Amino acid sequence: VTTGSQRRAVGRGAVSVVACAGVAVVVTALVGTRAHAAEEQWREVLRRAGEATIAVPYEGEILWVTDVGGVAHLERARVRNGASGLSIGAGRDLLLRTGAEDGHVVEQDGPVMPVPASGPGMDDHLERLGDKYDVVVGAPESFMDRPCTTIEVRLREGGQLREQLWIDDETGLVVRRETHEEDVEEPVRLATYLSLELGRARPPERTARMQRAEEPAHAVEEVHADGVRALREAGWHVPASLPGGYAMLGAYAVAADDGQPLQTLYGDGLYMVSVFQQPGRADWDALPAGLERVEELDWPAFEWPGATPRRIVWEAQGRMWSLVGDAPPGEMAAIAAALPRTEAPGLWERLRRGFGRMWRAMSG
Amino acid sequence: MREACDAVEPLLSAHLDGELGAREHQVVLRHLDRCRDCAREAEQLRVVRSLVRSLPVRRLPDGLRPTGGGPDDVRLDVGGAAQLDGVRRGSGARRARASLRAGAGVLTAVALGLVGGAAFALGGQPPADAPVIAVPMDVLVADHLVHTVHAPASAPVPVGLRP
Repeated sequence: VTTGSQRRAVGRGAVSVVACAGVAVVVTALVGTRAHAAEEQWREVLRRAGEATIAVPYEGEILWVTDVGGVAHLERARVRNGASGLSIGAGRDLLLRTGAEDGHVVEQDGPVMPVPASGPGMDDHLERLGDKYDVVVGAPESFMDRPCTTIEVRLREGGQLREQLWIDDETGLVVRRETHEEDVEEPVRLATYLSLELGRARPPERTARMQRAEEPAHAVEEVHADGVRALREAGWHVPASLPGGYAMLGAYAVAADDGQPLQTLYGDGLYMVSVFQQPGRADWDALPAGLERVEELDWPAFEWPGATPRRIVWEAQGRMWSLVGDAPPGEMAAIAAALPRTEAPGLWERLRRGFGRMWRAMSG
Repeated sequence: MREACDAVEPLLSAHLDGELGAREHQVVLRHLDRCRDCAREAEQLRVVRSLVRSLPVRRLPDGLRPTGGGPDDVRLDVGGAAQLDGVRRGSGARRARASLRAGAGVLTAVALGLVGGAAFALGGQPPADAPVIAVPMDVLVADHLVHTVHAPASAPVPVGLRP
């Protein structure tokens, strides 16, 4: 038998529970909405930044600083973007031009390369970015007297700061970018504009090397899924992913004078790396000077310290391997370590090869 | 007495090795009892042999070990050991054959080493049929950049390396 006061108490309790549940739902909805809004915000800022690289006409000077073992490597160049494309000049040479209507055209020391417009879409990048990283839009800052939006990108696993971006509010351009590596307080890499003038972009200066470069076509052909399967069956090393959450974004066959490089492109939403493989042995003398052994790898692989993007080259399994990308040093090394490596043959293998060659030589 | 000493002296080595017949053994023993010079010489010879036998034994590699009745161990010629062995064996021809076999073994080993070394060196060289190619690093970097310029955090990067 329940008394009236008991019934009232039960009623009050039920009301309280319902009220609490309602508050919880509202709070959850608000938090969810805010989180969703925050995610939408960084996605929009970065989407705009990616598009601005091509769409915004500007001219400026950019500085790259790369820390290699405590030694800073500096490089600076004029950058122009306009109707004729994006050009980056380092010193005397005009190196890169993109922006043709039907896609992108690159002009540099070699031949002209018409590159298909298709590539990893912005939404794909942002999806991967959100899978691996936590992205936070930070407080507004002023950079080069221009209001900027700051963005921090942290590894979701461990919360390690990876990237800080300063994005110009007016244009959406990334005007400063710092890359951080684990356990290192200072950035391991910095790309920053030293000057920036909007709305002006003179046509790129033509150099003798550019004019020579316009003649032969440097064909780049995208390899689709069937082609990738065929390449794998033919013995090419085309992994679907690389360590650190780098997924394959595309494969491209490049027609070159000697050797046919196969390029496979990987990305984690923030950084991108290309793996090039060419059958044959390297003409090491023909490579630019300054090669040094990669310290993080325990087999002979070489790089140009401080180069941006980083480029690592080695021989393995009868092929030349070149790894090019902007991933942090530790991730680049892990990716290289996951690819075929230079391995000295063992004693018996060397003897077997050697006696085989001697036998072939003697038997004519 | 001197004649007896001259007769016994060549037998001393065999006597110490226990290689004499019973009759010769008795003759040597009787002489050593009477002749202090020969007894002293026999004692010195015994001490020297004892010292030589205490030297470490060096074994040759299997491929060089003399066969066909030769000793498994070859003592280093230290302190006259080999000479004493020769005296003990009393067989120069056998020693010559052993030396010949050892020399042939050494030559074979050297030849095998040279051929093996050459094969090892040849086996370490890259395949002769693999073409030597240029790695157009600037072109590869440009190929990379045209696919990455749209990336969300893209900032222009140089293609070439500073001269």
